[in-house]
Amino acid sequence: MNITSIFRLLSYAFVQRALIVGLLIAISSSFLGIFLVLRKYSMIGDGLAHVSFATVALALVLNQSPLIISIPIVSLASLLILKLSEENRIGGDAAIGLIASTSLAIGVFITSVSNGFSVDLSSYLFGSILIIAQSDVYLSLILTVLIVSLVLVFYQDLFAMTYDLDYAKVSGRKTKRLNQLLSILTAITIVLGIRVVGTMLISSLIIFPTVSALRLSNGFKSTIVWAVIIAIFSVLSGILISVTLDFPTGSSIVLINAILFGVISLTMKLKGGSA
Amino acid sequence: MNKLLEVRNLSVNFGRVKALDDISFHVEANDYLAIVGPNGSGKSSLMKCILGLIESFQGSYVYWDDLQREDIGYLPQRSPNQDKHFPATVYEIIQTGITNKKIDRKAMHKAIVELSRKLGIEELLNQKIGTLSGGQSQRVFLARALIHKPKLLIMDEPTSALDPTFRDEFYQLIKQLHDEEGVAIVLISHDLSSVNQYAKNLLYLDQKVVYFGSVQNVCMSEALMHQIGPQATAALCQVENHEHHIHL
Repeated sequence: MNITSIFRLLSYAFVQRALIVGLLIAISSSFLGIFLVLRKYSMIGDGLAHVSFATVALALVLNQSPLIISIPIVSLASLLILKLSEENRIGGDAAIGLIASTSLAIGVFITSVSNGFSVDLSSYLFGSILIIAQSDVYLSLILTVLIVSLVLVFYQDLFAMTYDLDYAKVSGRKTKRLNQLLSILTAITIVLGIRVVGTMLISSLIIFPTVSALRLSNGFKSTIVWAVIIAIFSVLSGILISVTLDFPTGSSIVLINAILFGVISLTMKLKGGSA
Repeated sequence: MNKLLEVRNLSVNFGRVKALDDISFHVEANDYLAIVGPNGSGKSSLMKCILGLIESFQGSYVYWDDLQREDIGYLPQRSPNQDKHFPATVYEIIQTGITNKKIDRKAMHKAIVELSRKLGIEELLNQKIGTLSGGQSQRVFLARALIHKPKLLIMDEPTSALDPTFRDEFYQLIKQLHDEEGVAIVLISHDLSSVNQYAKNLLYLDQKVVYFGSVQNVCMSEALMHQIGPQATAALCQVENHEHHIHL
């Protein structure tokens, strides 16, 4: 594989769509990742990915666009997880477990009773750039602009809440509304991300760039900047490797993230940093 | 004197356990009220009710004189986030004290630098919050509580995690703030000897209000003597004597 053949691949519309959507997912997931990781809500991505599996199965049975079906249902599921975890009787991890396992069961049930799908369901489980349509690119662009804008508008409030929830409440910030906003934005990111990395691996896009960035930075804003850089690099290089070497897209992206995390952690340890 | 905050017949139950029973008191503008009591007396629960952190209670509290939630500064007992690797600089933490989204960035920066200079933490502004000592952290959280110029500062045992040498310095700093800028203070503590020498009024709590009034009259309270015994009352009276000594 030489440079010429890589440029030839880049001229294909499906590769261009994958790179654009991948870039947008990298930005939105890394913008949200720091708030979820530091608040110990990392696994919400995994739980919502299970829900999105069920919604994709439902959309394929109904012959509808998975994005249109998934976004409202996964958003509602994220609010339900939040509601259950706010009740003292159920912890956040248990709430995620309840919703995730129930959704997976529904997804498997729908798959087994349906007469087969026109699109391979495994494309959504493990990600495939072949399933990204032009309409997905436009929708991803709109939703990413929405996610980034809302995070920037409420940045100070989200940061205050992430560091010290009690102080955020005391200072008059609407923490319940902010939590709901964060949950819905996470749900949207998960749904967007399953096209590229799949439901099984999407949570890693939220977790990996942030935990790698945490080892490189002292400040909150600079951690977000590093997370965005790491996410963009891993997603774009993962897609290109996947296209050129015919590797699965999702696992290529996750493995690059894992390697980056290992290299950064080791480097910082050798330097006597925080890793 | 104008009232800033009034608590009326406030009661809190945690299941079948009564944490607070029919509490009434008020805080005046330019007041320095110390809330004291033994462990488990309900001091922290009372504070959480006033700050809106406990929403389920009977009775009420009223903010007077146009006091808003945003006008209250709050200083916790110790660093609220124990994650030493949390990626936030001192500057970013102080900034969270500003809730006014319309504030000019330059004005905000100037205010943060000036306040941190006053509190002796200017050189720490770019440091990671988790790397600071207990005393340095409390100064940072004090800066966070003061950056929006509160009318009322509520402190929950702010020196319990500090070494004794820094305690006196800390209370002098609060006293200076109270005297020079007229910020009303509510100080929650069980450290009678070192804390209450600065307070004007005292609320002694033991699930119920045992005493609420001026520090100078505390020795005259038979209810307090009966409730806490002669030894503890003597400790409070020493505070009174100290007050006289300071004024003389």
